[in-house]
Amino acid sequence: ARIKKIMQADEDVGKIALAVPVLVSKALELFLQDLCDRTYEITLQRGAKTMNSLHLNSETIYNGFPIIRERIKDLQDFQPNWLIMYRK
Amino acid sequence: MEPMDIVGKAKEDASLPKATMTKIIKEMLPPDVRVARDAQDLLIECCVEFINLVSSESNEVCNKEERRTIAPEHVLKALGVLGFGEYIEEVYAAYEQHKLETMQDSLKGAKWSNRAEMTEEEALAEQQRMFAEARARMNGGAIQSKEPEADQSLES
Repeated sequence: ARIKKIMQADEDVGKIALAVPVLVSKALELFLQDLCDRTYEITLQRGAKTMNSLHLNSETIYNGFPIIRERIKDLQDFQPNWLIMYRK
Repeated sequence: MEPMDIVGKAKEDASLPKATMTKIIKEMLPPDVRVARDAQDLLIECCVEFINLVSSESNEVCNKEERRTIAPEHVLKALGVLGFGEYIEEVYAAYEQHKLETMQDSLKGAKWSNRAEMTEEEALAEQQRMFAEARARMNGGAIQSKEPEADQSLES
């Protein structure tokens, strides 16, 4: 239901077949696993015990997922402000 | 763009449940790894962005085929276009599994609907038959449970 809601938040997206969120859910699971694995490799390379946004924002991730490169950059630029808001 | 705009936008848009996503992320990583809060937030945002990308690309594929409803085939094509071709096989397998499950559910539903189509007399007769069966089972059980007691009295 949540995936369908996110998909339909886009005004251009019309009707969605019942099985579509199931497919997107599986694809998302694979994507997240991939992203976590790659980020974990960088965390290990840097000898860190805690995975942080800098590990996620490295060139390796950009090369692996060029399609979300700009989005990660945008989010990374505003990261400190997010955290200030979140902690308040 | 102001940072506040980004924060506001993120709150307005539908997002994924934070607690559930955090749990999934932790399950995907080895138990000794800690995940900073900023990394968690960023991962969740990436997931939302991934859904947006897939849905908009699926919509484009759908429009090209002059269809009104986004179908599973459109999603599979979109994954290929976006460079996530290696996911297609597993995603398709999940789709097949889902189809099987929904078919089984509909068959179960059909069984129940057939039951509902009985006439009142048939339903009453069926009920009486089931009561009779239950009584027979109960009586049989009572007889069996009494037999060991009889043995004990003989022994004493």
